[in-house]
Amino acid sequence: MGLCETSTTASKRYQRRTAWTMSGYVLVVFGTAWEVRHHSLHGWLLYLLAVLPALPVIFSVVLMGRYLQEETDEYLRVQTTRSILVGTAALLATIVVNDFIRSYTEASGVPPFAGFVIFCVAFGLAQMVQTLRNRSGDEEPSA
Amino acid sequence: MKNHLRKLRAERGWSQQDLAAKLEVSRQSVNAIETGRYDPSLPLAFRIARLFEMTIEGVFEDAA
Repeated sequence: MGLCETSTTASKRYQRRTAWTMSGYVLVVFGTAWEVRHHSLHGWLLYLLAVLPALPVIFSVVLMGRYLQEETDEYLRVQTTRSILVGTAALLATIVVNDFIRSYTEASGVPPFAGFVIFCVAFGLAQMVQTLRNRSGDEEPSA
Repeated sequence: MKNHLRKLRAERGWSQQDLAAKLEVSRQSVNAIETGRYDPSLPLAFRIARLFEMTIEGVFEDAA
């Protein structure tokens, strides 16, 4: 979030929570992949394991919402909201283009798991552009 | 919306960081308001005006 450049209490909390969530994500991804590979699971247990890695990712989106709720600096809140909109727009555009390509051609479309990555990349780029724009009016170097 | 924040701040010898600390916002906020990239909310505009002991109209100019 405006998070690399500015360290408000809310942004520090967001970074800490996200780091824990992503650490959990890595553990869950490797754990479920290992479990599926080494045990022949079927039925609801397999479905449960398949959904498990998505939970930390979904939770990371919830954390963005909590950050927006907790951030007291209104400009940083606006900046983060803009970036979320850019990420969402990139994701929706990808989905629409992908759906039409798949409907009219033989192409297989965007590979699995690309959606969230596209959101994150677009979100990150929007944050970066805004951070650079913030520096344009600086009178003194960033602390 | 145009404003006189940079001038008012300079008159008092405050850095962007000083003003940000007094307003309890980030330095980026001060920078964005000064450069006209962001129009503050009414509560923040009141806080700014109060800090400089001026009216909101004295700090911000209505573009219309």
